[in-house]
Amino acid sequence: MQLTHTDYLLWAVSTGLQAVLFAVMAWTRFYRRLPYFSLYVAIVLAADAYLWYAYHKYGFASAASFTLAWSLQGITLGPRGLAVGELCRRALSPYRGVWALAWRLLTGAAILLLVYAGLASYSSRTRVATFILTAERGLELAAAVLLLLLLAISHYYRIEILVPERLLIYGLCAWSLVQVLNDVAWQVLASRYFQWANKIHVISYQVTVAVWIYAVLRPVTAEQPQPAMNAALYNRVAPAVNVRLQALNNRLLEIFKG
Amino acid sequence: MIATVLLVGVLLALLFFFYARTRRERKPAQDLPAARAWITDELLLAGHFRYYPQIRQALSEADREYIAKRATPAARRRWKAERRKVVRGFLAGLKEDYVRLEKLGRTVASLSPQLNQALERERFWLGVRFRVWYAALWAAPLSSQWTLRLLDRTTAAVGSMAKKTTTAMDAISETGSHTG
Repeated sequence: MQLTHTDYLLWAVSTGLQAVLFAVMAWTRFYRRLPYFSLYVAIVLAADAYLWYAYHKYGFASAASFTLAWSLQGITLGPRGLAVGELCRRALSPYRGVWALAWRLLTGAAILLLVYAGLASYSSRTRVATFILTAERGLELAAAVLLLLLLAISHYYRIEILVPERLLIYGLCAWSLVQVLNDVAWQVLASRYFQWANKIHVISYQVTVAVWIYAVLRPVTAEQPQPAMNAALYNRVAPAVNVRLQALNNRLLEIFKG
Repeated sequence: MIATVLLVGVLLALLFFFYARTRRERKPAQDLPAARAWITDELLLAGHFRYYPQIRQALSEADREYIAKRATPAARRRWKAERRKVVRGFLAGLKEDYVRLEKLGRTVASLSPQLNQALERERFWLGVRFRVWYAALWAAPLSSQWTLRLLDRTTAAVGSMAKKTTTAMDAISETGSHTG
């Protein structure tokens, strides 16, 4: 099993895009805004460069390259988890009440999903390839579900996530979901699907990185919006609102009595 | 495997839904006068449920018996069609009231430095219940006492939501006066 010229070309474009993303992040000092996400991008770029070197030295189909490729994939999972957590915190933590509720919910969901991923991969431990694909599928699914939960919470409480963060979330979530589908297809079709799996993996990542570059380049016009109603405003607005709500309640009671 | 593919399909649809909604939705105002105007507007506009007594009258057993005895079959059919139209119009208005109050309640909660988890859970389930009754009423025949009971419940849910919002606003007021 060898990589084709197209694979090499796609891979080169992918690494180039990652380098551009990294440079743009450094240039706009995006790492100050989202340090863990920036760390994740830097680690992926370094892992990619090292993998190029390993394939060149040991050959693509060698056992050493196989082990290295999956080990590097595993190493990037930690920073990715941190990046997902950072995006959740950044979006919701200015809203203290919602964040107090949301972090428990998100942590609970993360634990459940990780346990599921662990159990699923343990049950398919007899073959290395199946084990790795199942583990990867479970972890990708966990990342996607957590990001969707974040979007659901912000939608429910009408919390506005700033455009750059929102684009990073969309990109990360869509990419994870495409990887889940890719892993499923790979498991079903086995080696017949290898070339396609590789191409889909690389192209979907390129699209994601392009979205991230666009997100990082977006001008930051405002910091994360803080809750508009401070205590003083509540004290001025709340009585008026309460009187109106009470009036609505009284009218309802009249309807039911009458 | 098929289950995973279906799950991913649902999750992708959800992602698209959030993407589309975020582009469309108007967020609450961020400064003092605008916030006050927005809250007042939301409350003033949530008033469709005032027409409930008339709707209840239109669905009453007495009216139905009267029409059954006195009207021709063609007139009865017309009366039924009109009645369905009126009730659906009322339901649409009721849903509008509910969604306004619900949004207001959520926004108020998002601005609160501390959430009351019981209140939040209750509001969430109220929303689920309201939507179930709403769907049931939309599809139900309008000739039964069961429809009236459902209408009672659905309308009560709107009132209940108003009460929850009041409680949340009170909690925020109290926190505000403690913290300055």
